[in-house]
Amino acid sequence: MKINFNNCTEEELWKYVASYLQIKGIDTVLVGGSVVSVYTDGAYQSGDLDLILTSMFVKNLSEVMGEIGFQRRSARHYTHPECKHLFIEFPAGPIEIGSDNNIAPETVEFEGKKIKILSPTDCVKDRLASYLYFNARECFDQALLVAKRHPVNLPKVKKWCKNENREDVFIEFRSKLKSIKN
Amino acid sequence: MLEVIFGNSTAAKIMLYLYHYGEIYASGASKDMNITLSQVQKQLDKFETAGIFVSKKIGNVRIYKFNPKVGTINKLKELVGVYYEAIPLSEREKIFNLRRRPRRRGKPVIKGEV
Repeated sequence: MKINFNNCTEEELWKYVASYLQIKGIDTVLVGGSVVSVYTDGAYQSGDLDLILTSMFVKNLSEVMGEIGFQRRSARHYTHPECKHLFIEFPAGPIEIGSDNNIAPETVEFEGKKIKILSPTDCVKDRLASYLYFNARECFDQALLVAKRHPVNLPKVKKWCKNENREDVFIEFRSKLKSIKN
Repeated sequence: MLEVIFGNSTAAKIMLYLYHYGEIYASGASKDMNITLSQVQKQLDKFETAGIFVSKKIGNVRIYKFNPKVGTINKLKELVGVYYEAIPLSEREKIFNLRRRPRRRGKPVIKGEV
């Protein structure tokens, strides 16, 4: 795949980087705000890609990222000299959304490689987690953006909110979703 | 033993300190625990990079707390809590002797209260 680093979208950069890492045997899952960007076709832009390594025993990440032009900037940040608008971060794993650590990512096939991303339902839970734990109202809106465009398993979201002792967040979410869908 | 689990005594002290106060900033922790600022900052950075702490800048101060978005952190807090509870109350009062909870502006301070 060819990519124009100057003006690539989050989705294009994710597919490029994740599939290259996959070729090199490094399995990742896209999480965080950039998942919203992918599921809303860029209607929301996060500015960074959060990739969680599914194995904690990866040793050659810097070397492999270097092969596609990315330079390590800190313990977990990588930038590309031609890509001024986006950077890549590798947050510490495993994937957890509040008390839920049983996350099954979705697999997307891209140019024969299988790359992984949070499902729309888990993306909604992840955004709601930022809302309820960090009071980030914008994350609540991002959850709505995703749920408006993709099928989301609402009973699962409800159960998750209940486990986090915040069923009120689900009630608010369901109510707002209903109003924007009508 | 906590220092062995977390790799060094500064890390263990920061964990106990944060467990006690609920939030932490580098210069305050450095002063209270008599550890150099650079050591504290280095350790806070490490915990943040690992996703254990999250931070937020308020004015000129960066405040750290346990990452509430990650469920495993609660298990870690439970572990720290076991060691925290094992510290005798009298000793705990000496170690964590600063009042960090809100105090109304202008309220008089009586002798012995910090």
